[in-house]
Amino acid sequence: MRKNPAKNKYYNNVALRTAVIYIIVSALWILFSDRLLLTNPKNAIYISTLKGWIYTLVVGFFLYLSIAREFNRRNKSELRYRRLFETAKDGILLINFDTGMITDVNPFLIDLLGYSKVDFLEKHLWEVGAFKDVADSKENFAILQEKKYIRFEDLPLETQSGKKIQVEFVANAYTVSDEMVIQCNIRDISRAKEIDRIKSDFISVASHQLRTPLTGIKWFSQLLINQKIGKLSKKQIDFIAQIYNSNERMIRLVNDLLDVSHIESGQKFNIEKKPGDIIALINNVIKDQKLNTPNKKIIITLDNKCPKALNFDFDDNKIYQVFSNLISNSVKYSGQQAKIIIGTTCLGSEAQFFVKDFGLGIPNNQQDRVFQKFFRADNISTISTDGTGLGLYIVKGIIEAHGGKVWFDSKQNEGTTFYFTLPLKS
Amino acid sequence: MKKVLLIVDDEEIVYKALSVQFEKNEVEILTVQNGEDGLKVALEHHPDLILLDIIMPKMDGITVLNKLRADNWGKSAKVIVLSNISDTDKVKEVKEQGNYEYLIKADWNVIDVAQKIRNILGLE
Repeated sequence: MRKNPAKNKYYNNVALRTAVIYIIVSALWILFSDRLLLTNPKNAIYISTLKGWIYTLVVGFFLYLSIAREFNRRNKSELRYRRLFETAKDGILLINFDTGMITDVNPFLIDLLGYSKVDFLEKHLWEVGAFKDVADSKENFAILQEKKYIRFEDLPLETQSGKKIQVEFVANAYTVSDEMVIQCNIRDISRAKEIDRIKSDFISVASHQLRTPLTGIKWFSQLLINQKIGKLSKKQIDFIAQIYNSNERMIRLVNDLLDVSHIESGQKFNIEKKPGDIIALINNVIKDQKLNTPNKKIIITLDNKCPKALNFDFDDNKIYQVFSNLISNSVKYSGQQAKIIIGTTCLGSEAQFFVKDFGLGIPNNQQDRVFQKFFRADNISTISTDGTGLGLYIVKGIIEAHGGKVWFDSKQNEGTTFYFTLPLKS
Repeated sequence: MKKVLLIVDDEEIVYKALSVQFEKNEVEILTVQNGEDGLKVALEHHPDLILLDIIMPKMDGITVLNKLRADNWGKSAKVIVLSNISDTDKVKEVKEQGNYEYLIKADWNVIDVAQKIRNILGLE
């Protein structure tokens, strides 16, 4: 049998207290009783009998008080925990650690799975119909015995009526009264999963419905600008270009909101790593960025300390988005003339990148909110209204989904440098 | 020889925008507006390339792709999935079918889509 040190300590305290009381009362009695009572030696027998009775009664009284208090406390505590067990809104199973037999089950779990208490008691977990996969359940029980803990975020179970439900299952082993027990907490997450699915379907349909008309505007305005359909005046081309650019902003916004909903739903991103040359990708971003902001004077230089071609596995679309978001932020923060440096360094198993600007910088008191969604610094809001505050939140999501890290340095009126790393090996 | 491009999309914009990108004598464009007809025309005409939308009436693009891949000719047919759906599960489902390109319409310029088609069809 395993010993429980906490429980031993508890009993030792009771015993110690009783012993101390016993010693104090005895000592007081031995020291003072004769002097108080034995005034006449003839009364010696009577006095010593009386002394014995009084002594026994006093010690017995103290012992009774002490033990009754402890029992009372234990009863109250047990009642409290029993009530928690009975009224919990999660399913709770108690299992004997050594035999694997279920020793108790709370009403919530009985209701949830539709089995009676008898169907659970003195049975192994895998003998209850809800846990269908016997081999899997036995294997997981062995892991639980070894590690004293097991958790399944999304475990499919079947109720007695055949309904499929999804639960979060957490089991811990601990000691009670010198005996190891396993407590399993089972939370029904079917409803939460269903809401997630509805939300995800809604976003998917909504984004499709938004993107379809935006595609029409994009494609036909592009065809008009390229004069595929007929010749247009310079002014007409300029106006259609305005339509095209505004539409592009709208498409970016829809894409950003979709990315955010992916991060929020815990799916992260659907990162598709493929071998590619990141230096070529950076050069493409630089080229596109200059094309996209013809009205600003932008100097972007690449300080590459890695090989000329740096090939490794990454999601080219998403990493393009990272550089594009960081550079367009730098451009926004730099006013009409932007000087931006992109740096690359190879550090063993990872590559480190930075995007540095010499613009407004981020105010000190707002720096801890930079990666929060919808955050826009006060100083940028006054010079540029374009931006949703989602870019850096998405950058962080993409880099972390790749297994990298992102951080920054910024000084107001001197500029900002964003750094991030990407692992060179998957 | 003239290449045959089949556009299966319930929205007219893809056909209208792409038809001005190709000379009449280089590519013959067939177009249908639902998945069921798309599958029928594909299996009948064996086009050189199929441009396939996902959300369509009668039969969705994923079902079309599954049925196409079950056919002897269809299992190696060239397909570009051109959709505005970027839901990760759907993309994954499509990608499991192999031999395809998955393009998000709103993220692509029509000129780049046309160039991609030219490359796949081997046109200059």
